[in-house]
Amino acid sequence: MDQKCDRVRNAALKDSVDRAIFLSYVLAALFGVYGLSSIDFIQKFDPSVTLWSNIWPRILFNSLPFFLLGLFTRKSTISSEAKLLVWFIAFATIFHTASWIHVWPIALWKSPEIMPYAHAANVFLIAVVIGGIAPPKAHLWRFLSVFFVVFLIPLLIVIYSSGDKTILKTVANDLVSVIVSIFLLSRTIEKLRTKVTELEIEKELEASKFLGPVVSKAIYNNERDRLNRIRCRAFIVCMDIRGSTDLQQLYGEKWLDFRRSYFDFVSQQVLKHGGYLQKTVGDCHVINFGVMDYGTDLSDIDGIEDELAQEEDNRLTQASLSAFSFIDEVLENFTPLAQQWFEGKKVYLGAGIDKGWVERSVQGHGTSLELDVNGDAVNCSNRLQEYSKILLGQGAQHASVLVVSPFASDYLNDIHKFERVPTEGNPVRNFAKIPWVLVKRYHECKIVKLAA
Amino acid sequence: MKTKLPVAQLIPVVVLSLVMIPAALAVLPIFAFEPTWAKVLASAFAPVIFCLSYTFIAAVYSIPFHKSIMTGKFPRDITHAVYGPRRMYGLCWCAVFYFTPIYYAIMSLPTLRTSVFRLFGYKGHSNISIAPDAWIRDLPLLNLEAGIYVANKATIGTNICMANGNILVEQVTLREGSMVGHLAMIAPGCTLGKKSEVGVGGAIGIRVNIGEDVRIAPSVSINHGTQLHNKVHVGAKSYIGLKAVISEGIKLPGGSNIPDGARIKTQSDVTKYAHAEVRDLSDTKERLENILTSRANF
Repeated sequence: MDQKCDRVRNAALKDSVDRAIFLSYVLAALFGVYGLSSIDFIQKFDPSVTLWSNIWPRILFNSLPFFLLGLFTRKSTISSEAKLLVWFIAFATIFHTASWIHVWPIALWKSPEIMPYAHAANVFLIAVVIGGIAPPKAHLWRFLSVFFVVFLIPLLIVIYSSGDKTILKTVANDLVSVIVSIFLLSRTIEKLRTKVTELEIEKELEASKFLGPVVSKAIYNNERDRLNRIRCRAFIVCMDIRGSTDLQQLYGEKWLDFRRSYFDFVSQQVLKHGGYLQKTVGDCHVINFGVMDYGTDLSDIDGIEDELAQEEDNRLTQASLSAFSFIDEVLENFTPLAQQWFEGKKVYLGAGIDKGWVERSVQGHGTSLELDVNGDAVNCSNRLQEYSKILLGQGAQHASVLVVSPFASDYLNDIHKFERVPTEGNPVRNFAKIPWVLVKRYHECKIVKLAA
Repeated sequence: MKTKLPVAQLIPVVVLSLVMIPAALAVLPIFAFEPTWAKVLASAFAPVIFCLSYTFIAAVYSIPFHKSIMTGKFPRDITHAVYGPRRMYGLCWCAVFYFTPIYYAIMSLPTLRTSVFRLFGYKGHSNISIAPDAWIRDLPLLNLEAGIYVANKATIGTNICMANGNILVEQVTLREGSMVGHLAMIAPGCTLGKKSEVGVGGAIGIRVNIGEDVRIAPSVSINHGTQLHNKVHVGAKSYIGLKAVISEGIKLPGGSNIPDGARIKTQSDVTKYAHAEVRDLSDTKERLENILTSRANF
């Protein structure tokens, strides 16, 4: 929540700074033009003022400082907050300086009637700046305070000193109504902008939940490399609940509630052990280890083959450790979890794991794209998971069963809990060449322990 | 893929014209004016005219070859469709870079520097600080953000030559406010995150990805493909192996030795790898614990 607030706040500040930069350049141009457009009414009150004497001070003291202010705000590396404060002070100061070019001196010493002529420009500028920048509330108050001290008080003093109370009242009334209206408008703009930013962030957070950690980082953190096509060796785990069709028909709604709880548990475990939930089909999960966090592809770099082989070995060791610890945790805890929902009913999992070459790539066309992992290992893990059904029929009842391919056992240090089962006579479907599999049964010892 | 460009013949033409045209332009005003004072003034301006025209001509010569400054792996053969024009671009850039007084003057004047960089195809931010003796090349592939600082004698290596005759070319990205220390070397394909720092004499390998607010102390070597997530601190003289991944906020003490492919997810993982000696002791401890456990089970 704090992170979201920070992002909204930072986006609002950055937006205001961007508009302040743009406004600086616009004001630089407008103040230059004002030298031409104001000459008529200035000469009306002081015929000695020439066009040139009305232009060059405005260019030197207004246009140039506004241009430099824009450059500074754009290029400076100070924080957005500091940039806005500098901009507010500079704006009020330049505006104050502009007023001393003919207008205030004429009002003070020649004719106060000039003020209503300049007043229109003042009101216009105040509206453009407050409404245009629309800074966040705290900054808006800061701006008004600075503007009040640096420009408005001197303006009112000048008019008061000129001795025309009617003009003073008119200017003061106009300023109050304009500032109040623009203040409210600025707040509305700011609220709308905040709402839009919040919606964008919420949309991003909501989408991230469905996109998963890899795709969401690739899109929102601009880590496009994560979507690059990669071919590497990895572990693929396939798990399914045994007899789930019968159980669903038997328990109906209650089964669906259990299924939600089970899927939640698996998602937590996948996250905890650094895997990636690739697909779910019914109650079946396909999870990969060592693909999505493959890292940078260096296969095109010559001369580092030995180092790459060593790195590959380390990577697969870690992926194996993650995959088997994930399976252990899920299969050991599955039956107790099911017991909470279906007391007295034994529900088991069957799982298969294989290691092999897989390809990670974005598949599909146009607006229907999917980051997927494919390869023999994906199919094999599914067949091994199916194979657990055969083993259940061969006396492995009352246990969740893991079937490990010979390739996936390469990185297993401790195999004393596994049983080597020859596949002769009962080959793995589509993978008849697999001569044996390792089988681990997750008996109900944990249930007994939990029940005790 | 061969280039139709006669690179070998063009090189001497470009080099000669780069010297002769600016020289002619520089002395032209001396002959153009009659009064002695004007000749003296023109002579005083001659080096300035030479420097500016030399740089401008070199930069303009490079423009047709910008499109050949692309990422990839190419044979170092001047007849190759990419390497040939790339050689021409390098010739133009090096003509300016190795002309130290001119290059120093360009780098001292930000507006001039930005203009020259843009003519050489640079597309990054203009508010940057690069020491005049820091090696840069392939300006179209430099992705430099505001406020970056590259110290003296640092190398921003967008290309790397390989022993088998190839050259690897990739983009280098330095994010906002990042810093490359004195004598540090950055290899092709690297990204240095916002406000991150590579200390003095650091060596950063190919396609290393460094997150935000990362501190890399002096003399650290980071091998290819490594990922340092945000707020990682790497102590002095550490070594991080090929494609290692160091998670957010991890602090590696000085002299750490992280093996190839290691995944450091927690601070406690660091103790396993901190120093070679500590690692040996950890391994021994683990072995002894295993023996003890197995005997206790009897």
